[in-house]
Amino acid sequence: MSSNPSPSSTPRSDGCTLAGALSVASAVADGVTIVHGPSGCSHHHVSLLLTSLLDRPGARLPVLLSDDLGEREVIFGGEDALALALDEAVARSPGSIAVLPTCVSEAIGDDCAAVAERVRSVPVVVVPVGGFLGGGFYEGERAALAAYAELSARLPAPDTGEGPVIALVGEKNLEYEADCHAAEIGRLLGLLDLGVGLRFVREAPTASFGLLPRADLLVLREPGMGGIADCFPVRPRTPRIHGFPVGLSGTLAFLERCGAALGRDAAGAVEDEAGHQEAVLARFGGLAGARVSLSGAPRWAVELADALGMVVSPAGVPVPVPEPAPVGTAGVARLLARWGRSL
Amino acid sequence: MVGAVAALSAYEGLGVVVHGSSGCWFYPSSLLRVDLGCTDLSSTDAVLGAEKRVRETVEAMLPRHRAVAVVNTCVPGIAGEDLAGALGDLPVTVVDAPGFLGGAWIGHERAIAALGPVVDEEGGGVGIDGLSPLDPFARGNLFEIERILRLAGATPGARFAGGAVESVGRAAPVSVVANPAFATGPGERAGDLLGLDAVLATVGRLADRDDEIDPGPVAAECAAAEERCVHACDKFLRRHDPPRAAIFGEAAYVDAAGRLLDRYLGADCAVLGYRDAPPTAPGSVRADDLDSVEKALARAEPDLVLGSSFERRLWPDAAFVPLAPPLRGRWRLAAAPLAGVEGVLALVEGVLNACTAGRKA
Repeated sequence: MSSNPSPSSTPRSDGCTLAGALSVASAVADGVTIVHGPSGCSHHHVSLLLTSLLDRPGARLPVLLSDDLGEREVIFGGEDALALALDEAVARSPGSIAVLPTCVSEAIGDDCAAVAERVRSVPVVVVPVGGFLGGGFYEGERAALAAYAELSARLPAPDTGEGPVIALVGEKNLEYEADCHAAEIGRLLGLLDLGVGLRFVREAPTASFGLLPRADLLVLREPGMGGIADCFPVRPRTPRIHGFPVGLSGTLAFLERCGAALGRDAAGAVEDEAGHQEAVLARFGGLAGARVSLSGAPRWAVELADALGMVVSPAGVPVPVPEPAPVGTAGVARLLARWGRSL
Repeated sequence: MVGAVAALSAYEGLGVVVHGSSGCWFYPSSLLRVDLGCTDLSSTDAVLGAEKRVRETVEAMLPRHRAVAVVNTCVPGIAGEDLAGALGDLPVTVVDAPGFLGGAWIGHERAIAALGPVVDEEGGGVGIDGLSPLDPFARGNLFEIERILRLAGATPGARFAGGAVESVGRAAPVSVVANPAFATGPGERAGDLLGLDAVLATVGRLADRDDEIDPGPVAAECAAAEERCVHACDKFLRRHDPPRAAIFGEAAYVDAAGRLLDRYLGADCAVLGYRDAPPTAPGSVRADDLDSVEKALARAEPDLVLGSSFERRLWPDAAFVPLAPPLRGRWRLAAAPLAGVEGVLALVEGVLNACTAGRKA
């Protein structure tokens, strides 16, 4: 595809808040999402979501409704159309309904919150986005997370027993490896006799969001989520880890931070994981001495190459350095297999 | 908007600019994979106006193209910017096709109308109408229709949409139609080529207008194709029951596929789902959202589905044959037709292979 030849002074890669908000809302397991805009907005996002779901056989196709704003609504207002779509959504008895305004509804000035307030039987989340009028993909993603966090304060906390509640926050729902990353976090927490208590909001039912306010530890997908987490209705000084674990030492540090946050001695877990990492590296011992170039040379990748005795040089064979970085030791192992193939 | 962008992008020599946000640009760009400009509207532009940005973007496109078309999206459409005035001194066509006006077919129609096609009464040839890059069969249809026209002794004329942008001013007085959902070109229409009967009838009408056109070779091909279809389907029916089919897509394609399945396989066409038109035929439903498609599938319980990736996803255990976009998760490199003689053969072949793969007994 050719790159967009528009004036370079304007960033073009921000996309649309609707796409970001949809990436969150469509991941709620029992949710229904209403796109308050022309049907084309829904169509093109469903089409793109479908593409990502093709890599997950059997995955749930999210329920996405459009109130199909047309020329009439642009002239006379689209609130009646939204009310009808809300009735249709309620009839499906979902755990929650997300209303996502678009640039069209924003431009004509519909009051989505007022329309949504009339629904009493199902929690309704109105995500304050307006297509491109309000930012791009990341603003939409964060606005949706903030809106669901606000909802969580109104929900009763489900009974989950006595253990600490660890919440994964802001998983990248369009990421191909998203579930692999969550599984790796779960494995690492298992070394500390802990587990993931809440995935906020990936493939989790709405009722489980009631756990967020009583979370004992927030594990953010990436540091950029910090600003949104500041607004979460959690207890004061709830500890956070500002990113999923990356690289060999980063994974061990993750265990130490989890232990420190929850008052657990992580020494045994760290020792076990270090042993596991040695075993993984031993499987790829044949890479020792190989000359590789690492695009951007991030610290975790250089550390990995050093640990295997590889030679990092601009003249070396280019090997994949993915962004976002692979998560945990499992991510490292999969990356090493790709490095081996490149060499 | 996407329909308009697709129609315009089919013309060689015409650059296309989406006057909207990068989010609006992304979808047509990812579908069409062409040199597609964008004004990358921001909130500020929406408030203060974006004529200057449009002009800059058009001027950046012009060195690579002989003309440029600017397609309006929703917010500039609501704001009512005077784009024609702002760009009046440049070779630019402004197409007002914001998404809220309706589906891709409306955008296609608006784009062709904005280009101002002119019929060349003195020009020869037979035009080819109903071509859109959004149609997964467009390229195959074009090749097949050109072949059939030449077989009958006719010269293929201007396309709608496609060809050199200057051809818009030399439209043929009469055209044949590849996909009626996108048939918006000027002049008279001799008919479509969906099914062997339609091929014979349409070529017959062309022959009635022009003594140089001989329908004989086309009729001979149709007869041979008919025999091959009957033979293959009869063999299938010796071991299998007729399929129970659900067919989704643009109405003309759906109806044509339904007629083929009935004629050669005696299929029970339980659902005819129209994307672009209200239901008319027996068994037809409006199928322009996932909910209506899902309900229709659950009601019909088909063992054969013709449609898009949506239907395939919603009813994954049935044999599947592509008929409508989007078609994700499968390679489509060859120019597969749905129109013409080869279109009939390709569809029957696809159905038989899909049904046989699902029923080895």
